[in-house]
Amino acid sequence: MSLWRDLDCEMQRLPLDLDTADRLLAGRVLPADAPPGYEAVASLLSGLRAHEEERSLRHEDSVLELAKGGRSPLFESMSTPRRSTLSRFKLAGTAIAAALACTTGLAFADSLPGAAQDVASSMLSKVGVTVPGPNEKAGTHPSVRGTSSPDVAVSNDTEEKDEAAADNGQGKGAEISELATTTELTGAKKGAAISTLASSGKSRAGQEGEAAADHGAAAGGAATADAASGGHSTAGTDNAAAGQAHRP
Amino acid sequence: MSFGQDFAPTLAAARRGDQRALADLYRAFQPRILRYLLTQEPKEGEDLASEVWLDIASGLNRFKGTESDLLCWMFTIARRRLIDHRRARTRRRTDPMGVEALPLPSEEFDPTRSLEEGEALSCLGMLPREWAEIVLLRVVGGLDSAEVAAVTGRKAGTVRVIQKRALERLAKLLSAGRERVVTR
Repeated sequence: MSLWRDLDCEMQRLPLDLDTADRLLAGRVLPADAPPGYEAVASLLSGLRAHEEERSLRHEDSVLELAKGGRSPLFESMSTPRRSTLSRFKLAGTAIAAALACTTGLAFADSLPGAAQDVASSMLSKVGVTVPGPNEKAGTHPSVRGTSSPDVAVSNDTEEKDEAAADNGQGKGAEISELATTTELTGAKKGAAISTLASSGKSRAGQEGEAAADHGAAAGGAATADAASGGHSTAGTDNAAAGQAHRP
Repeated sequence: MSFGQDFAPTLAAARRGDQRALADLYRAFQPRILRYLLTQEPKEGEDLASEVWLDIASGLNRFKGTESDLLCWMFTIARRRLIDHRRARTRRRTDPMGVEALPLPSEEFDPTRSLEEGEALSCLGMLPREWAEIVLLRVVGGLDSAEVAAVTGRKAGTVRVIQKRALERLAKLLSAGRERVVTR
């Protein structure tokens, strides 16, 4: 008897074309007539094709029960409850309606956060429903955070303070600018004058410098050296002469 | 089994609730549907087939088409039931089967003998799932390549190429199995 290896050598498996594959799968090729190398495949397919009619049809009565309009116990036990697409839409619609009703109720009660209350107020006012605004109960302390519109409603006091501060700052700046451009002072004295004006007289910039200028750095230093040395020091006095003496 | 000329009256009668007509449809298509499901889900195949017939019974009033269309519609339902079942089932551990696990033909192997069902299914288990599904729809379901394409949502040409590759792979696997027998 030939070994399978010998048989394979004699009958090499050929490439399968699409039509032959189609006929094999359709059961139109018997294993004995299959192309070389595909006999076992044809056997496999015919094994798959074999039917067990008795087993297949043992629930036939249940189907007939179903046809009569009565639900078979078999189907009832096997069927799983499914939510239809229609009921899903209904569920989604109910959820949206509930959310809207809840939001409107909270808006009426003025219980929403500032921004949400603002949005709800403006949206509902478009459909003729009046709900309190976000600052309805705020009195003189409205919320200025979280508003959805740029035109924040603020109190008159706050506005006045801001305007006064703005005016104050603008007037002082102009005054300083005028001083800086028109004064005849120069250097440290000009800076001291500007600083004094800017700080409303609190700045002492330039004042120490004036004292030092009055005394004179060299004179002060010379006097100090003279006192410390008991009159022996020549610092600040003889330097020039010494310089002249050393010149060739 | 094919209804031929009798299909339209049988379908019309089944839609009216005629028991005999529905039984005829059931006898004609249930073996293929059940076998298709059992080959992929041996344990739950019968339950799934019953669910498929529940869907068929509830949707038959809306169906319009030929016998081939009805076959495609039924297998589309069966396939979707199978996919739903697999999705619903908790992920289970699967052990991939190697070539060594292939059913080994004996030395007296007769290539003209039909393989047992278990052997054939084990071989199909070696194929990619999409390939095995197409082979099963062709062989067990009795659908042609165009009908398989309609059921699986692929092009007919793609189905033909996949089924060719599947048969070539099967031939290779079976050949490898036989060689292992000889070299033992």
